[in-house]
Amino acid sequence: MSYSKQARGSFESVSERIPEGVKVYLPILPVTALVGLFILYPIAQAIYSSFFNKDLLAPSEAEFIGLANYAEIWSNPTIHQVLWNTLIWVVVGSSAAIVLGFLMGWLLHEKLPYTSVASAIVLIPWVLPRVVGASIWQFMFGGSQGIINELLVQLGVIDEYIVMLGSTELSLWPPIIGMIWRLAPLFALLTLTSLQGIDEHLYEAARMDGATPWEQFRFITIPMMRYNLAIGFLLMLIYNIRNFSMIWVMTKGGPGVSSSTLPVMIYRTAFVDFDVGLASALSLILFIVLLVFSYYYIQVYDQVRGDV
Amino acid sequence: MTHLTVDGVTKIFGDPDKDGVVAVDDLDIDVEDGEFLVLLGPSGCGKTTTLRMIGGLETPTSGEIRFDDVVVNDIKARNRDVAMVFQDFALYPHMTVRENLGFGLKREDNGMSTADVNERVEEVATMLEIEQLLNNKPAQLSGGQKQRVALGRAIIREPRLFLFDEPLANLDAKLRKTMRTEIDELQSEVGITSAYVTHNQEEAMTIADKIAVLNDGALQQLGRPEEVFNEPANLFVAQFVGSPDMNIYDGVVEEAADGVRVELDGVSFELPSDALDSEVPPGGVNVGFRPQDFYQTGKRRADGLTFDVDIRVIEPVGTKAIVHGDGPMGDVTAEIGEFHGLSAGDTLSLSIAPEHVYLFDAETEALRKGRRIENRASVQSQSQSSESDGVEI
Repeated sequence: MSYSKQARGSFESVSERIPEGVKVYLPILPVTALVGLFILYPIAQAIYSSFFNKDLLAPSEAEFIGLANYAEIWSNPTIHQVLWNTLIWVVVGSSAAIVLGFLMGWLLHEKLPYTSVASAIVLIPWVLPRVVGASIWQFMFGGSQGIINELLVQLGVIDEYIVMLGSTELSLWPPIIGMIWRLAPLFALLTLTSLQGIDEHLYEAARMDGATPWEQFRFITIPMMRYNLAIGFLLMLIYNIRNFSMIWVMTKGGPGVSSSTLPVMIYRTAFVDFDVGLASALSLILFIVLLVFSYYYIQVYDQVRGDV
Repeated sequence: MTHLTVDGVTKIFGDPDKDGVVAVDDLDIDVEDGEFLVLLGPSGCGKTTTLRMIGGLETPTSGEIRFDDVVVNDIKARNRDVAMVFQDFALYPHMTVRENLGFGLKREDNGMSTADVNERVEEVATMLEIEQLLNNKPAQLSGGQKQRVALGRAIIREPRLFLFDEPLANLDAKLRKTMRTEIDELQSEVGITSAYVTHNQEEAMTIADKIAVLNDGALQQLGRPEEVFNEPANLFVAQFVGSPDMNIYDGVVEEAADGVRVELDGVSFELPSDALDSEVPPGGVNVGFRPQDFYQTGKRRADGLTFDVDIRVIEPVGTKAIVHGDGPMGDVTAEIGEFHGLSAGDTLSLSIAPEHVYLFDAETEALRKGRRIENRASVQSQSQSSESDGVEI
């Protein structure tokens, strides 16, 4: 007893010597250290690097150039082309994945038997390793042996095989299609689970209240799914905007920058052209866009939890 | 104002030719304009399926459902002008109380403007005393308040029919009784024909104009609450209605000088002919005694039955007590008024008047003799006089 009293006494004396304002932060110190080391430091480093003309192979010879990297982004038409590609990629890829995914999820819920088996099958594109999925698409879009060319010829859309992945006009689209294929199942699953979460009695109550099938969809289904759909929508945007593997495997962003989006461009700038400064500046733009999306994602997510 | 007819309705889930499940079997029910029908029965008896067919949420496999002689089988739920209150209330969680109440009105082709709808919503809300909750979401309401909103959503449209699917099952006991009275008052006030599903016989007895007792999808009896209680069509109805459960014993009926003699295991008694509505043929019977019909006595009577019970358990319920004990013919459950001074192990002498004895055919379980109420006054005075004779129990 005396020992424990003593122990407590010595602990109290140590604890008393630490000021109250500092003491409250001690328990979160380990986590703060890890977050600082692996998240905050790299961000700070990226911001810092973006003000330098810095070669990856000779980082010590970095030269401070102020906002020159940002000026380059502002004026360089190649970069504009990449930003434009990114916008198309995100808008087309996300909306197609959402529409297709919603239809798939709705079919799984309403029309198809063996929902659990079917949803497992639907999820294959999502669980397949990314590079594997991308390689399959690259193979299918191939210019000389690709099944897609064969299919289009058979359907009479084109007369003979065309080069798709190597064409500056077409090369952006095959990776987008691949990405829709990968993301739609995720949205389908999200749709399915939120449809399953709607109490059947609500539809019966609406039917008794005189609601037509369309009104049930409009006034019950959609409002009941709105948070899940919003989360799904933001997830699609985030996944699309930061996608790298689908493009890199299929086209490496080329020819030229015709199929490059921001992440591919950043990779090429940093690890092919070794221009760390410009790559950092580009990363920062991507970072800010993602930050905005993530902010809304968290907002919606909190609202869901608040509503339940 | 609707006269509801359920005519030979059968509902089979699954394939009728193969392994289909018969949920409702050739059901005939007739509900007069403004009447309150209660569909009563155990789980899985088909009462909810029947209600859902009336509402249009299920389609009968065969038979007809008619509103005022118009067959509605092929009319969709949304066009039947029927309102339903669900067990879990089924309020639209994303809408405010105001929107919940107005939802049905806005779906109707009634030419009401938004202002009209709002006015009507406030009128109904005031009637149900939920006007201060109009801007709340269902998640912010208590069980009783949700129940009121669900009721409001039903009455606001002044539908042809009200359907209630165990609307009180999710409420606590006290609230259940209050809401029961309120539903009863509300229905008499608006005078709309109603069908109400419950497995709670007490609820059914208090609220119904007419009770339909169902078992295994088949109608057992359709009648006023007192008919169902006093003249249960068969043993099932007798055991389902009334609480505590009716005491049932195997017996044999023999002819006697006046009326019949009933032999139970260990005891026998006579039922004079004036206690019988119709002739009871000799043979095997099930004899039923309601726990409430026993009275305490020490004196044997010429007619009726008097016997001793060894008390096993006494459950006091306020001014009365439920007594479980062993009688000569088996387990006995009785409800008695004077229970002070009694405890487990004591012997209690119980009597029952001939008018109160139920007899059921041992084979068909159909009623042979019900409970007569016209003699009740004289029986009560008899029981009082026997108690005032100063008999020690």
